[in-house]
Amino acid sequence: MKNGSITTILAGCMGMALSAALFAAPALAADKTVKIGNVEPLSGPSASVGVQGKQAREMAIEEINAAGGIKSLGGAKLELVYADSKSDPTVGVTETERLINTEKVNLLTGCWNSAVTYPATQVAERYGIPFVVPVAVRDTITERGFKNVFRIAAKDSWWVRDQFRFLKDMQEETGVKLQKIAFVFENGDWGTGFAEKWRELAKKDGYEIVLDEPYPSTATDLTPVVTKLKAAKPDIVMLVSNAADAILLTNTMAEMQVKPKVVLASGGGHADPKFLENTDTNALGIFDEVEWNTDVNKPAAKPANEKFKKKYGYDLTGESVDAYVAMYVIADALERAASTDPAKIREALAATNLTTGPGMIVSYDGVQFDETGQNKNAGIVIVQVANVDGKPERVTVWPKAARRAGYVPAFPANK
Amino acid sequence: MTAVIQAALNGAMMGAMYGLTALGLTLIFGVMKVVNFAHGSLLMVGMFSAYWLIRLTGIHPYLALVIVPPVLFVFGYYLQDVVIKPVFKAEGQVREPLTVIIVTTGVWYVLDNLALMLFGAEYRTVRTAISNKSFALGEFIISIPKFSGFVVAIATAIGLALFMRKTKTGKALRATSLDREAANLMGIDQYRIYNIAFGLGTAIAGIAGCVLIPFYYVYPSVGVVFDIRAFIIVVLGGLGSIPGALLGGLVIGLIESVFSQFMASTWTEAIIYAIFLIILFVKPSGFFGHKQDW
Amino acid sequence: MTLLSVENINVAYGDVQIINDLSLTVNEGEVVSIIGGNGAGKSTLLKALSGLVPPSSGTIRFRGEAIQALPPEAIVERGVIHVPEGRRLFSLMTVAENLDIGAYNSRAYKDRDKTLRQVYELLPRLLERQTQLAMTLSGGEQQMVAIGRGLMALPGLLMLDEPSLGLAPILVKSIFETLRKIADAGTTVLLVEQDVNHSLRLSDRGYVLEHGRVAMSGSAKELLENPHVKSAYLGI
Repeated sequence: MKNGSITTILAGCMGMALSAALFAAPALAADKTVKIGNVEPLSGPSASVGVQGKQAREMAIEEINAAGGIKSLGGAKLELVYADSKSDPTVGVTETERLINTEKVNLLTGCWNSAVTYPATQVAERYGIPFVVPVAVRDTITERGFKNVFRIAAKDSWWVRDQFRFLKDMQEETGVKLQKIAFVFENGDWGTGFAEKWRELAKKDGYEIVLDEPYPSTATDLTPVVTKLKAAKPDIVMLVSNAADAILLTNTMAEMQVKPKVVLASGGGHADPKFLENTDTNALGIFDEVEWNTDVNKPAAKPANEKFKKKYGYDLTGESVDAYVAMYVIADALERAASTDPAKIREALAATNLTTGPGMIVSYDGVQFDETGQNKNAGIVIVQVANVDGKPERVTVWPKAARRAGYVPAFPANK
Repeated sequence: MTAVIQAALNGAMMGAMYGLTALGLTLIFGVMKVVNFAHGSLLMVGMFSAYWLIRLTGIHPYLALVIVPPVLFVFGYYLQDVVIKPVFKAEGQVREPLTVIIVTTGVWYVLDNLALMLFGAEYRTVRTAISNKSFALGEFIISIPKFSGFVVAIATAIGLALFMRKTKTGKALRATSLDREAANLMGIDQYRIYNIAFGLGTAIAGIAGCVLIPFYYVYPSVGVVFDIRAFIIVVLGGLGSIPGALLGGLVIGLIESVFSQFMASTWTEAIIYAIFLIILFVKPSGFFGHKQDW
Repeated sequence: MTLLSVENINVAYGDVQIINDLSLTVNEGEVVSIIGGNGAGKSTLLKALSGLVPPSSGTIRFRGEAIQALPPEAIVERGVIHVPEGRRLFSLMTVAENLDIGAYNSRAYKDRDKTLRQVYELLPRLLERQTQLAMTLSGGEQQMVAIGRGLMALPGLLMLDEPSLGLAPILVKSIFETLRKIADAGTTVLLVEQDVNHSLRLSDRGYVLEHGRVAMSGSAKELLENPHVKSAYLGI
């Protein structure tokens, strides 16, 4: 009989434990997932970058979810939903609406192309859904007095300002004086935005503008542009290009033997891994302006890059880094908000001051948004394509403090 | 002045290649009286074929010219035979069967999306033995891949014209393009001729693909970009006219290249469309077209 | 010997019945005329025979073989040659090229040089004009090319659809003289004509078609004397 009563007690205990578990289970099952909508160019001319952005986000989410998700929301996992903008603003807008209304996302990120980001963020503002912009540089994206738009990368006026600072610093450092400047840029929102500011700053710094040439990114042949460039004989050529045209332009310039003293690009297409793959030695000497480079001296940077490269086959670049960071910024804000209410998330984002953690692989000190939603700390680096161990590689050269040890920039790149 | 002449040289070379891309389209229209909306996709197939062949085997692009077009001929022949012919048969007596045009649009979507699924949306280029090489002609620089393309384009146009003039099948193609029913009464198997015309048009797209790959990039919807030009060229040159396609191509190439020395390249597109519209108003049958085609 | 035997064929365009239960025969070496008014179905009959518009029922036999289900190119191979209404020359090809393509079928192809010489002998005007584009020729010359093109195919049965249509009387005369020479050389001819007088005079036998049926048949001589034929078709 003693055994029997022990068995009964044990059974009773197990019964209680089971029912406790069963009662608790619904509470666990009521665990939320936080849905993040992402509008990215997954096809069309910017597909390459769009896909990289997707991959970076996925890597970050995996890490965040594996580390326990959002603890203040009971371990809620982050879930990504994607929409293909095809780099088309109209499509971007309808997709943003769909993500908000049909998919019922709690936050949005996107869209890489400035032309798409500008109207898409407007939609989000209208619905009051917070929109984190990893990289889309057009100034006006954060200059409309919107409350729900937060940008991680630097705005294009900062990019342009830093390009001219670089030119000035390098001319001082090497004692070489350059006079004639040419602008060649894709005729979309991004390129024309840069060109406007280039003209202002070029005038201020006393350069002579010898060519001001917009071109369609989808052109089948850029030889006419290169022919004009050759005739203009500039010392400095400033470029804004997407991947395909960057490749075409560089290869055509090599073919037509056009070798300006300094070629300074603005990221985007030139930063795309496909660019070096397809231009190889033709790209040697080109300076490029980017968010980030693989030799940035932050402790988390190298391992993150190794992991990404192992998984996807190529290095992280500006867009993928910012997309990666964006996920950590969002996770951090959600932790502090402890809610999926859009207004609370928005407040938490506005109060962001993220300087540590696995997400901080950027070249600058941290993410902190000013009252317009712009990350005050955002900065850029200038790299040069150089022959390192027999292969063309991008080497950080500016600011001087960030320059890779032991590297002497070739300025001018051609005589 | 140097820049203008250099631009003219480049424009002529690109123009001949544009003409090449339009050649297949004009042939198919001339013989079958069908606007082949899948033409751009066939060009894409040609470019991808050349791309993969060179990428995987490293052969010289000139050699690719020997391999890719015959393969594409077979592809086009059977595409017509299996997919499009049944629709033709159903349309029977109609001179310009609309449903066939719709089927070609379907083929376009299927091919482009198949390529997207198989190869992804990214832009690909391949370094070939002649890529980025050039030679000097006095003070002008001539790109070798483009010059080769120029030569191949002209050779193909001449070859095609000779084929149409001198061979039994070529004459049968011409007869069918002029009067399908009368040709039938000569003992010409109309559907076999369509298969051959389509196969030939596709093979020419294959030649164009081989010619473009050394300097241009390929991606699943690359056909669309060239297709738009090809249509303009075909209308400009006259539907069904081989010299028309070449001439139309040269005109477009020269305008694109020379005019952009004097204005932003975005304007040259507008000028090309403007000329296209003017021709449609003044001489809708194009340079060498004939009224009966309309 | 019966060369062509048409047995109870019905031919329709969509829902419209054109030929109703029609039968006729053509013997080797004969010249047979098909006469009848507009809309009687004469052209449709030839299209049924050449395979352009297959009959919905009935049998067509050529040299004993049933050909009604064959495609036009196969019928041409067997030697049934249709010279269509309105000439239908290849406008942008030369006279020589038009004749050349007439010999496309495999039977005729190997002997085409010889046949071409014979055709130029019969129609010397074509030799003069051989490099001219077909569309630049006069109506009469175009008809000669059409007939020549038909001969190039080495026909077992030559079928002509209204060869004299739209031609001036003097040209009509020369067309029929040419047809006479062709018939005399032994070619079997089936002639569809509106010019009843000339065609019956050329023929051995004739059929009168009305509303897609054979209304009358007999020797050409009989038909020429027939009062109905005289009033309806000869205007006498």
